[in-house]
Amino acid sequence: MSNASRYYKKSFIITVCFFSVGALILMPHVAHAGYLDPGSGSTVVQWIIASVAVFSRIKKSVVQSIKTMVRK
Amino acid sequence: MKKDLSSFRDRSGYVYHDGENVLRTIMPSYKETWKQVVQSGLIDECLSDKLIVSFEECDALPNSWKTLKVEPVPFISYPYEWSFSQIQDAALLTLKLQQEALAKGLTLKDASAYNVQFMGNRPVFIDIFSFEKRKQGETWQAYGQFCSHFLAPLALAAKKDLRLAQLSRQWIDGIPLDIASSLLPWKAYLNPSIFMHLVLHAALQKKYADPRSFKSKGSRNMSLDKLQGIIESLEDATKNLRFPKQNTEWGDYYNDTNYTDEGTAAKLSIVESIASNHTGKLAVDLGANTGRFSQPLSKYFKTVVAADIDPAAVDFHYRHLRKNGPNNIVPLILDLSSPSPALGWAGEERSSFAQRCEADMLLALALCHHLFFTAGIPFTQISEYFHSLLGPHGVLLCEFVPKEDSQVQRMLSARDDVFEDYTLEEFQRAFYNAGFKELEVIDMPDSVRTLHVFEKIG
Repeated sequence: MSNASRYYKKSFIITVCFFSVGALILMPHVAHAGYLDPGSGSTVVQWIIASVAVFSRIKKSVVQSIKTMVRK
Repeated sequence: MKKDLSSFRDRSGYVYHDGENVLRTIMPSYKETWKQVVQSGLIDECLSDKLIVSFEECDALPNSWKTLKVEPVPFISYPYEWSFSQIQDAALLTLKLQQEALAKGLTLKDASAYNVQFMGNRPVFIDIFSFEKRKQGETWQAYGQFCSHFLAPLALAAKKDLRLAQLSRQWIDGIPLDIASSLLPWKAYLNPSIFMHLVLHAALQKKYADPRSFKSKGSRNMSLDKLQGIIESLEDATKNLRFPKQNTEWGDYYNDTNYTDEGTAAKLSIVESIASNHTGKLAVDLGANTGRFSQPLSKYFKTVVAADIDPAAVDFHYRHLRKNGPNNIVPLILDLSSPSPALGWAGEERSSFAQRCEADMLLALALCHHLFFTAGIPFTQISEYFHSLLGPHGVLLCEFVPKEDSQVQRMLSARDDVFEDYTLEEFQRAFYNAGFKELEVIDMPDSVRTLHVFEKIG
């Protein structure tokens, strides 16, 4: 296994753990009114994914900005 | 007028069948929501993009606020009959609708794979009452359902084995995520999307199985931006799952037959000629493989169902149709030795294949010898089942492959030939007794095989 892929996996695991803990601490309660039971676990994982998605978006935007600056 | 047996969960409206017309009632409880959905412009946009079934208003049925007459689906199919790419396309359609709904302040209240049907080679969303106004701060309540209906079968097929997508037949309300996670190989856990949407999701479902253990820890709301991020993440996860390179029993069928090119061309010509004299609404090609003989039928029938046991062959056929057409063929996975049964609540929520099939023409080319020798099904049972799949005066094209044929010789090479009842006479007798009249017998060129044209009379 290359150093790069080790680094990638390590970063991924750290990121997921970080946001999992964060999301669990800040978990809100939102009642659903529909006929479908959304499941508490499914609600929790959405908060984690939302946090990761936001992080990914910020990371993408920062990388893009740096690339633009370097090109200039 | 008959109520659809699968229409009972969502109280917003119900589906009825009036002859060939399909009616959807809107109950008074959904009146304001439907007005909001229509006023948002979402329905018009989806109709113009052909993402949802078309409809028109008709006389309201008793107890309903409004009734819509919707475009009928030519042949109802279920997720456990779809190939990998069909499930993938149905999933992406659901996510696209959710993105468009979110942009208009709406959301999909469910994400069932049964909300999608195939009009030929095109997935269409049929449950138009699935849209509702999104409450501010709400997560997507159908997220778990999406993962178990779409992502789990796709991940299992892509990462473990194509055939595992058909676990949806065992769990018609979606493959439980703990089962999906445990069946996935450990390498799949390294895929961030699979890890989060399936593995972590399953673990948290287990942790919070008792809703009382889920306590409020704050008052934060899920912003629209975050929710759109989740849908994007699901889209990426769905798109990034690729059709696996997997050799299957029938994947190379057309390169492994004993027909010459001339023989195949002649067979195609014979099939087309017979089809042109017996046009109708529905033709079903059983054992269609990649659909070579379904193509000529598509010119003479409104819809052709091309069914085969092999998920790789069906997927190849679907992808070919999506790219090149024609657009009135629906490829489906079907194991004829155990065809889709009636399933769900009271054993009637999802109809069996035979209940859904009233074909004007049935094609069974180079099929009966496989059912006979491999699955051990006698001609009597085969002919009776074929009879049940045809409508009144339906036509059956059935190929008889005698024992002298090299394919049958190969099948018998590793076992004792105890099949004394495998003769042309027994074959014909079984079909006569089942209620068929033989219209024609054609000797197949370059072959010892014969093609029998039967008409259903009983």
